[in-house]
Amino acid sequence: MKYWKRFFFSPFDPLPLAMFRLSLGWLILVCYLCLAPNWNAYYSDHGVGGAYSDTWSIFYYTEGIIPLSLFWWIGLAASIGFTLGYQTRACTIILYIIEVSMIHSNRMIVNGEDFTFRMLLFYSCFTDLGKALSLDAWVKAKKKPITSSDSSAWPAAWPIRLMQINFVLIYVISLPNKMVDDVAWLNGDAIYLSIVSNMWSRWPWPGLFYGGVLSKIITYTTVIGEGTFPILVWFDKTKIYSIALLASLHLGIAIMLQNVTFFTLSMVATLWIFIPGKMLRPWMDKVSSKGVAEPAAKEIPGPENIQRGAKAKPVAH
Amino acid sequence: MQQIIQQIKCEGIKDSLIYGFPHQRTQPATAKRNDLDKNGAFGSNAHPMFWAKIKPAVISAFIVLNLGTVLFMNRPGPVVQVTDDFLDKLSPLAAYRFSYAGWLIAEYAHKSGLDNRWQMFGRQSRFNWWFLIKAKTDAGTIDLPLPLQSPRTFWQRTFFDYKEAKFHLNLYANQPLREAYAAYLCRQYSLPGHPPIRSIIFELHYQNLLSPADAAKYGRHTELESYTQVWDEFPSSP
Repeated sequence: MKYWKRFFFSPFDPLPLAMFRLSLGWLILVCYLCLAPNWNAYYSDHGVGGAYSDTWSIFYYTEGIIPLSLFWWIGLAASIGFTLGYQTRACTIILYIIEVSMIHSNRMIVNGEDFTFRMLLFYSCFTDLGKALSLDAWVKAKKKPITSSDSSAWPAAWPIRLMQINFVLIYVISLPNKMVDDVAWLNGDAIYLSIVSNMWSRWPWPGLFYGGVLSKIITYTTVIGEGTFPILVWFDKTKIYSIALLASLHLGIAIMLQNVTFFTLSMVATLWIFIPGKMLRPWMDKVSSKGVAEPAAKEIPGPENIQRGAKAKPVAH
Repeated sequence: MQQIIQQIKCEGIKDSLIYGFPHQRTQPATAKRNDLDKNGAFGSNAHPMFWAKIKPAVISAFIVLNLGTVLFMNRPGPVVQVTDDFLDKLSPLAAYRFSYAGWLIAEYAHKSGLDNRWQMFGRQSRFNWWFLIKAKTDAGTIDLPLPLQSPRTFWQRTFFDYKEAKFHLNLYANQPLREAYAAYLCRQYSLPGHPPIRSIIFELHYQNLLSPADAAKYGRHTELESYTQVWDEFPSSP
């Protein structure tokens, strides 16, 4: 029980959360800008997916009262607020409501990033992502400067832990599925098939993957990376390598494949919440000293420390 | 003073039980805030104390609910099969109760947004395919200027068309969606001064992919032959 308490109920370092917020917010903001030309066509009742909507959507309940395009402006403003950390919690909730509404308004154009954004925003509603590197923190710090030992201002860990576990579960769930669903993940042809696909590939030199050697190397690296991440990310010594490998895989996908860019970048953005704050702090100190709660934690109560019987301390990652 | 404190404490707990959350209550005039705080934070603080006690349990239950929901929604096929077999062996009432519990979890997943089945690049296509969507008018048949079948700039292709592939993937597998999309296209492209659209045609083009070994051998990754099929022709609704 005490391990449970330590894992879920310790304060969480706000700096990785701030990096996560900045990355995710920027991504959502770009998504909104990209949706601008098609917003009405995608989400209005008379658009391309009108027959594939359900009622769990604010668009449905406000139809005829609030113009649909106003929600785009609200979403855009909220994504800017979220990124800058201005009224962060309110912006998070607004973005979550609009994201849910988008998904339920047209199931037929839902991409992976929509599901990822929705999941991340859902858990983010229960925490304050604006404790560091934000306008909220800046204003607060002006009123009452944050001291180095002030970890009482850190947010609770449990929503972030839920986010982390859910993120890990994506790999735990999807890897066996893909191995069962398609033999290409076993024989090493999966990356070749992605690279030569007219729908997904934007890689201009598919010839590099002919013969299958490069495809096998990348396919098996992907399987190893996705298979080991759910375990290695919890241990101090392996965490950063595991994160680096997964980030490389997702960035590679973003470069080589089209139409999944936002999804794969949203996965990269989420990796911030696994990076210990103590690793980020030296970089951040160079950028700004205001609005960043400095660490009071020396120990990280992850599973590895729990095994060693480490005492409860604020979570430094 | 102790009596007042005790009374407020009891009321605080009662409020929390009744309202389910800390309820603001006017303090008796005789109870000074500072006295109360010194004696263990009663009055307006009594509810937070109660809440502080039950908060970990409530949050723990919420954690279990959410993680359980994600796992439930992503049960592998064999687990679903075992569950169904188990339900078949139960009495109708017990089976109903289990099914109802499952429905409640699914409903929570639907409402909260935890209902996604996570699959990343699970199935890879063995052929390249694309739709050519045409409009039949009195003046002839024209290819509609849609994102995936008309010249696009780099910016349009990269930033604005990023949902089109998924949409076409859904069109491929869903005939009613194609019909609904045809109706939308008829509305969208029936412009004054242009010949009226009589029907929308979905033409599927596909080309088989070569294996990596054959691709190396022939220096290309598709077969030379490309195939075309007219999948649907949806008449314009009056």
